[in-house]
Amino acid sequence: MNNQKRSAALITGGATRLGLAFSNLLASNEL
Amino acid sequence: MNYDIALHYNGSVDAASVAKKNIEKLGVSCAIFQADLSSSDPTDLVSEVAARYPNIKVLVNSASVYDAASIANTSLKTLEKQFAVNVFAPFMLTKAFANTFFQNSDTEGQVINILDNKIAFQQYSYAAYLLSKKSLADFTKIAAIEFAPKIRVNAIAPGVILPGDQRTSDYLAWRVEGIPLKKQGEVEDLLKTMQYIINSNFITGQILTVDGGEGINHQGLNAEQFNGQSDQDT
Repeated sequence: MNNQKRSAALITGGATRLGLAFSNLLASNEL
Repeated sequence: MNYDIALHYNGSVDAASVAKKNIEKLGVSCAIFQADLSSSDPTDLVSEVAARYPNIKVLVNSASVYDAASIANTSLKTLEKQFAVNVFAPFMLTKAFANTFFQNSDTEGQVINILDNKIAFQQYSYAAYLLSKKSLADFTKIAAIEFAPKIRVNAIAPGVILPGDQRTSDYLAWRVEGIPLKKQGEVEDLLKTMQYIINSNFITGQILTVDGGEGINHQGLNAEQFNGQSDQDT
């Protein structure tokens, strides 16, 4: 588990189309 | 840089579960958290998330409800629900986010609130919704001051980008006519904006409107446009 090291993001409404898009962006290496 | 994802949902457990699997394929951890933000204390959601992810650095307030009604037709119940989800929840989540993850820490974080470009207008046909989003816009600025310098707080106000499924092509063409850039936006436009906010360490308290100029497209009546016969004195 590396949860203690990598930063995390909380996205509300994450299962909506927009929330999913934001979640995928934050999870990707595109930042 | 990428983040582990704490994904909140309300009723869409199937969509949330699929999202979790897809996000995990990107090589990060993802957990899903159910909460009805219209009735539960949002602080509980942050506590639950903190137990799994003690290193939350970004909060995206994307959950929203939309009920169309003029002031004359708005019930107290509708007004309360719009404000509970669209204002009270982001307010309490931001508070809990700041108190839980940054009070005794030197690290920096950020909050991104999702608004609506309609905050530029006074469209009373969905008064409670619009007022809630206008409130969230002002909350963005107030919170940016209170939580500086540790936490940056910004917002994105999308225009015609992800219209509801009930919207027809005729309707969308009509809406595009009112957009100076004469086109509908794409999700990619919002993602570029979020990338910009995330990576811009000198920006806080700002509302980035992504709408092709629709929100500024109201000139107001003026003398140059007036063709009447009684304009001799102007």
